[in-house]
Amino acid sequence: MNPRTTVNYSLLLLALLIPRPASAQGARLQLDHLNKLADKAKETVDVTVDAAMLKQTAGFLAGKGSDSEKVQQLIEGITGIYVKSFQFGVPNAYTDADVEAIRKQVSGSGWSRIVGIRGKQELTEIYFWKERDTNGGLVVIAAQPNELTVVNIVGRVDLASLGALGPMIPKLPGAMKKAIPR
Amino acid sequence: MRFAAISQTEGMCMSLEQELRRALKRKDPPGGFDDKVLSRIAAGETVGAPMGTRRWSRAWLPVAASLMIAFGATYYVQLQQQRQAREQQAHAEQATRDVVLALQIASETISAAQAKVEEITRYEPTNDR
Repeated sequence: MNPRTTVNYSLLLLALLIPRPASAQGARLQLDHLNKLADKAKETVDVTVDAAMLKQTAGFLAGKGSDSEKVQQLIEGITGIYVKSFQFGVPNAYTDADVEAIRKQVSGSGWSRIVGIRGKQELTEIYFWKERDTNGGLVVIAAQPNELTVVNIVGRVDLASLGALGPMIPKLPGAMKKAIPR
Repeated sequence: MRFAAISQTEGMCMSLEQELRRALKRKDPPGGFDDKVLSRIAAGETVGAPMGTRRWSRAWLPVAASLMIAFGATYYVQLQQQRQAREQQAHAEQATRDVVLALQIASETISAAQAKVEEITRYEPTNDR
């Protein structure tokens, strides 16, 4: 084989093997760069719930009233929930680069922004991930001067049902008695 | 001389034979022997078999040890299973709390976004005219 052809084939193989950011990771975002903010934050919520954990919770959420059934229906199609929420004692504890690193991940193909509100000192954005015309995930970015929250849900999720979930949550088994740090 | 020796030996053999006959002569048991034997049988006396007992005790020792090990192992396995079940329960409870917390934050964030969108659309001029 011609050495130049060999090099070309090698480069082609390499290009195929290198994962493309948007398509390879799907609806799951890389949020590890936000971990450093935990040191500056007054309150931190870091939740990682994978498919196995969701399966485990099915037994606990099942058969405890209509609210539990609704929640169970909601999480049925979900394969992962990843939340990072930081509340800071002083404003601007995080940088624009921290938020941009998330926005860059949802700028690829497959993602579409359905809500985008940008104020003077705040940003609220909701993105949907679609794969073959089916809803495959969701990202919510809520940034305020002294607060940053990123919610990443992987799987089939109904936004309206998720938004209407609020009043049901305190009745669920495992719900916190006191308010979460927000 | 030779004949004298032979006759002496013969005489000795004769006396030995007589002594043996006397010693092995049939003797009757002492009086009341039958009654004593029968009464002991009636009383249920048995003759011990020390060797047999020892043999059985030697056989039972490993059996008992094996049973103890088997019971101990079963108990240990049960304890391990119970501990695993408790750990799984605790994991599931923690996972449920995490799921509910994640849903709570997601729901609140989405509700806040929806409220902002409603607020913006309420004050925006419409092109319906």
